[in-house]
Parts: sequence; structure tokens; C-alpha cells
Amino acid sequence: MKTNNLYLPLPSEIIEIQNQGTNIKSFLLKLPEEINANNIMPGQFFGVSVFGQGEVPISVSDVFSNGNSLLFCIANVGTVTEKLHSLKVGDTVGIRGPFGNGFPMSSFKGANLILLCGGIGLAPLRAVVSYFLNNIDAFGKLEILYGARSSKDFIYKDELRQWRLKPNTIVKVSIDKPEKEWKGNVGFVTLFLDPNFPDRSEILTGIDREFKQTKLLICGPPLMMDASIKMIQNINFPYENVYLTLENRMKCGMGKCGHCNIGSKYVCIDGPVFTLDELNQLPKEY
Amino acid sequence: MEEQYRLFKNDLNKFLEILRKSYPKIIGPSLDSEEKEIFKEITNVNELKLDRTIPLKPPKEFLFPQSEELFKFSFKERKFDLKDENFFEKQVLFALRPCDLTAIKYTDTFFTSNFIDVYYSAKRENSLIIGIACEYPSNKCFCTSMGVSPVSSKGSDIFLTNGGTFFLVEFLTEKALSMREQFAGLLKEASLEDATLKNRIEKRTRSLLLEEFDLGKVGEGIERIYEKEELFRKYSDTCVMCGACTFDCPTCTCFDVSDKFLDKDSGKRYRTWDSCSFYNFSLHASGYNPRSRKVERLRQRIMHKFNYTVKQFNLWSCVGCGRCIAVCPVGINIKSIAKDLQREASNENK
Repeated sequence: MKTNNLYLPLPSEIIEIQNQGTNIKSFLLKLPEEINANNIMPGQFFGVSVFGQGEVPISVSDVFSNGNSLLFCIANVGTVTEKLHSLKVGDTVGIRGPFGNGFPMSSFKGANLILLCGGIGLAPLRAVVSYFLNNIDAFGKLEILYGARSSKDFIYKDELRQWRLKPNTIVKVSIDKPEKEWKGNVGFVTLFLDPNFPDRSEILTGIDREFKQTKLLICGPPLMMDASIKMIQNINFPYENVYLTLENRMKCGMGKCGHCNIGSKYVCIDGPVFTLDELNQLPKEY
Repeated sequence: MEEQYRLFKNDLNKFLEILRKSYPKIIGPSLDSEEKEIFKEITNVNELKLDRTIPLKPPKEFLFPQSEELFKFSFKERKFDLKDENFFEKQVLFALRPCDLTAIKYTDTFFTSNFIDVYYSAKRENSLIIGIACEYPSNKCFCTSMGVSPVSSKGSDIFLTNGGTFFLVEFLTEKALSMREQFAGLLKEASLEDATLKNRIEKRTRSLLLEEFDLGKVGEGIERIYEKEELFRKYSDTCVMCGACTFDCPTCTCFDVSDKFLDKDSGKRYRTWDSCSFYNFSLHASGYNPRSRKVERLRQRIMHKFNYTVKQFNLWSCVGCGRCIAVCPVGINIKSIAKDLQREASNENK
């Protein structure tokens, strides 16, 4: 039980801001001393405050323990995020967290990891990539399957280029509709799991055809999650090895405000990461 | 057995004055300017109304206010200062019926599980709860169907039972026992017949309740009821999603959080009651809404009360107070929903 007032944000200075795709910016924030970088797991989230506007829940994109900083990727979709997008380096925001369970990374050791992401859904999974690269000997292969609406909508483009060059790391990208200059894959990101797709997941085609040594991590908009679940059913990938991270509305991060309640679970404390097995036990309210 | 005393009604004012020394604010059942039952601050014993049905609004607002400041913020150049200076005055919640006592037991569990809600806890720790055996159920009441006895003292520090010219007083917690000496002159020895007083009142109150059903029998069947949309459609079709049922519910705890500027450089963050009946309650940032239909939102309220909190805390989050029935502008009756659930669930269990 934690007794200190977790509704109170801590001040955090903006160190760097980068444009990422359409209407999306990444913010590198100074990690407050009160928060131990080692306690932050990929898949967890923080409440990010602009005082006077409010607070939004944002998943951690990366933790740099040496530089004591945190990376968030934020789309401009509402009043708080609009204000966030107007801030400059040197401004201070408030942060609370980390909240949520995060991905059980240590239980993934020895396995291959497939990251299936749509649009800004790469944001929380980027933290998984960093964890993998920092502990590369502990895992099998990493395959990043990343789809976006258009070529303008990819986030972390520089990082995607760098990841292609890393050992044991495969990166495949796709856009939803054809574009003039685009020579890569076209189609919904779930195609990468389709046995008939030419550029299909290399882990599922060759490295682990039996689906015994692979964890599939998914983050994207609800439609993409639904399509992924259908594909997983079609290819008979084991549900207990599928991890989805949800984005229900939330205000407190502590299972109190009630907004993210699904059945007997709260996305903010029992999630946001659930296995497909766990989700199948819950009402379809995500 | 707890020690029982008689407190003669002539001494009730003295009793309250002694309480007031430790707990300056006394909240109790009274009447508003339109002669309707209400919980409010009592300054004089004559304001107390103990022979009425429960107030339409529960005492929830004294532990979890409808609007509550979390902290103040102020800007200094590009930095900010936060001040969490909520002040909690010690208070007595006086003459709460067993339904409201049971609701407070639930909110205590809810607000202190996993993470402690400091704002609720601070108010709760500064509150002394005095319960009273219920003799005046309304035609909406169904506490006994929710497993609450009209004379149950659970959840109170001190419990009163009406004995005509006196109250039978029980001191039940450390908080209450530590004060007992102060009341020494007012507490008289209980007589032998007082031992059966609660039983007599329980029997009489139960007989005044219009009906009793046993929701305890729903068992596993309630899980499958979620899929039976027609069961909920019967009620959600007329629902106007006003949220009044959730606001007047003693166990509904959902809240929204907002910021407000008080002047150019400072403001406050505060929380306000929210309701799962509202469309925006579950609306995602992306514009997607997992409970976009009325039937889904009504089902959420019902399943939360009769199933989800049972799985979480082994507690129903309905105490049978009937307030949501009284306040509903279109006559939706949670008692008949509960009976439908019980019937359907028992069919499922067969």
C-alpha cells in the first residue's frame, strides 16, 4: 500500500521536442529525482499535466537512466495535448507515475518478440525495443511490424532506420493505401501475420513455425486491435502469448476514477497490458 | 457482547455537545426548507429528525464531496508551485441507517484498496460514524435483499437503537471507546429487556419492507447475463442518461478531474462526481467509445453493482437504499432489474 499523495504531479522540465509524423510530437522530459528510472517498465504510463488545462495519460516511449530522462510521444487530439504541443524546451510540465503493469519483460527472456504496431502505437513498444537492445543476449529475435495510414504517419523514423542495422532485429513497415513514391508494402499491418502475404513475419515463417517460442505484443487503434485479434484466431497463434496494451479513458491511474473500468478490472492498474486470454475473460469494452 | 447503555432522549443534546468538543461539525438527518429529508450540519438537537425515511441524498458528500479541490497550482516564470492544503474538520456523521453504514464500509474498502485515496482517507479518519437501527423504511427500500439487516451496527463507531424514552447505545470501536468516559454521567445501565430490543425492531422493520428477494442465489449465472442485452434494453430504452441514479447512490465513486484558473497565474485541480451513464465517460482520446450505446452504459452500472465489485472485494455495491428508484425521472427501478437478474441467473445456473 502506498500512502503518499499520488494525485500530486512532480515538476519535469522539457529537454527536447521533435516532430514525429502528422500532428505528433515527442517530448524528452527530465526525470524527477523522486522517480527511480529502474522502476519504470515498458508499457507503463504517466499522467502528464499542463496546469490550467489538465492531465493526460501517456505511455512511456523510452527511459534513459544515464541521462535521467523520459521520452513521451503525444498526438495533438484534445485541449491538453494541444497546449502541450505549444510548449517549448525549458518549459515545465507535471508528471505522475509510473502507473499500470507494463509488459512482463523478464518473463519474455529466451523468447522471440514480435511487435505489431499501428500509427502512434509504436510509442509504448519503442520502450520494449530499447529493453530488447539493452538485453540482447537474453532474447531470441525481435521483429517490428509497423503499419501507418500514410508514409507521413510513421513516428520514430530515425530510430526505425537504426534498428534495421541492429543484430537479431527485423523491421517491416507498411502503409494502408498506395502512394506515388512508396515502394514498400501496402496494406493493413495485420497482413504481416497472414500466411499468404509475400513479406510475412520472418519469425512466424521460419524461426518459430510452431509458435512456441514467440511473444506477440500489439498496440494500435481499436480497429487495428480487432483486426489483429481476428488474424491471430485465423493463424492459431496461442492467446496466452499475445499481449495487447489498451488505451481506455483514464483520469487517476490508481483504479479510483472509474473511467477505465472493464468488468472487474481497471485498465490503469490491472493493465494497460493484458494477454488475449485475459481479454477474452472480460466484456468487449476496449 | 458489546457494552450497552441507555442514553435518555432528554440527554441527547448534552451528548451532542460533548461530541462537539472533539468533533466540531455534526452532520445528521434533518429537513430542508421544503420539509424534505436531508443530511446537514446540526447546530441544535431540535433540528434532528429521526422518525423519517432516509434522506434522498446519501451522506456520501461528507466523505467524498461532489466537487473537491485536490491542489492549487501557481506559475512563477516557467516553473510552477503546487500546494495540497486541503483542511479536514473533524465531523460526526450522526444517525446513519445500516444501508448507509454498509455503503461506507464499501467506499472504505474501495478507496483504500491497491492505492490509498488520501483525500477520502483524511476525511474518513477525521469522522466518527454513529449509526441507528432503522425503523422507517420507505416503499423503495430493499436492504434485506442485499444482505443488510435493518439493525446491523457494522460500519459504525457508536450504534443507537430507539427504545422509546431512551436510545440503547453501543460503543463499537477504539475511536468510540476512547470517548466513553466523557459521556459517563449520561450513560445509564441497560435493563435486561433491552437485550431483545434490536430483535424486536428488526422484526418490525422487516415486516414493513414491501418485499424481499435473495440475490445471493445468482451465483455464476450472472456472468452470462452480460450477453443478454434484451434484459437491459427493457430499462435502457426509457433511460435519459441523466446520471441522477449514480449521483444519489451511496456507493458510486466515479469522478472526473479538471483544472481551473483562479487568476492569471494560479488555479486549482479539482475532482467532481462523474457517471458511467454519460457518453463522454468512456470516450477514448481517439474518438472511439466502447460504451457508445445506452444499453451498454446502463448494463455497466448494473453489472458493476451486482457482479464486478463482488469479484473485486466480495461486496455488492448496492445496499438496497432505493434512492436511485426515488430519483429516476423515468421510473427505472433497480429492484426490478435485480429481480430480473436473479430470475435469469437462476435459469442459467440450472
